[in-house]
Amino acid sequence: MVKLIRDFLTVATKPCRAQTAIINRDLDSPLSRGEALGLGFHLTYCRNCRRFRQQVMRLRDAARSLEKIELDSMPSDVRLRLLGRVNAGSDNPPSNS
Amino acid sequence: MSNLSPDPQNDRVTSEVQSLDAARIDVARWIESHGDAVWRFALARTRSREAAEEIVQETFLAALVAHRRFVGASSPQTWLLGIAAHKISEFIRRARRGRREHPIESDIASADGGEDLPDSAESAFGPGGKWRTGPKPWKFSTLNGAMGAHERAEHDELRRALVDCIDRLAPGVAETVWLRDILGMPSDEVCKALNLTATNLWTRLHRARSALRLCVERATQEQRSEAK
Repeated sequence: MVKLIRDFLTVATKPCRAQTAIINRDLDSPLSRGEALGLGFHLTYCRNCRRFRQQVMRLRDAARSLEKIELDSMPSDVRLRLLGRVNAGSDNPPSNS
Repeated sequence: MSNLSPDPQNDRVTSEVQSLDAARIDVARWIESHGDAVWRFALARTRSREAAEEIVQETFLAALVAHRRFVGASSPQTWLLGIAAHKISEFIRRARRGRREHPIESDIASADGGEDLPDSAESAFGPGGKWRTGPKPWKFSTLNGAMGAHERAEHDELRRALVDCIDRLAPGVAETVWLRDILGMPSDEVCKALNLTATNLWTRLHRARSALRLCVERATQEQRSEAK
């Protein structure tokens, strides 16, 4: 309970610049309950941060959709040369470091 | 010379050759299972088959050399994509050297410095951390299920702008965004792959995404006014 209130107050009292860092962190690691409430409180009255959050989330969706862009798999000649390089040179063994 | 007499020197050589062979077998397996992922990552970032081939070779040769250090703390793919990320950023840094370019994000070293945003995104805030120029409304509708022709065109425009803007990120930062936001690698895996602390990663992604948001906003607004 103490942590909840402390996290809430820590986040809720921060300026917009710091809110944007919290919005971005939220995309990578879940905020604590208090932090999430603090951010939510800020967002209720800050249109700019609301918009920032919406847009970085939209960008993240667009980024995820880029993974599905069709790229050819490794061509067989490239693969053969690669295997050749890896198998080549027993006289040139990898260092032990 | 008889093979029957045990020769410690010979044994050592034999065991080294064996472990080298074991390493080559592992690396050949990794090429089989993860070669395509490394190839696509390198090809997408460099857009050149020659460059991608060079990076793929460097990545797997480095994996062979460092084979003993791979102890299974992360999955082979995470580890290999981490090596590839370094090779890609080295390659792009070399390619850019001499060319006058203005990345939207300063170099990696400063990218990890505190909460600081790159200049362009930083200037959006005034004294006391208040917005000076807030985000402008975007025309791009949110993604939800079925897209009509209009939404599809908007989405493609946004994706194109995003790719262009990612290309303008500093090498190293761009690869971090690629692993986390495009490939969707979990944060802790990205930290292992790139040898970053969680805080380093958040700071780097915060700066990168803020810079990308502004870059995309400017690119798509300019395009709209050009079209008029």
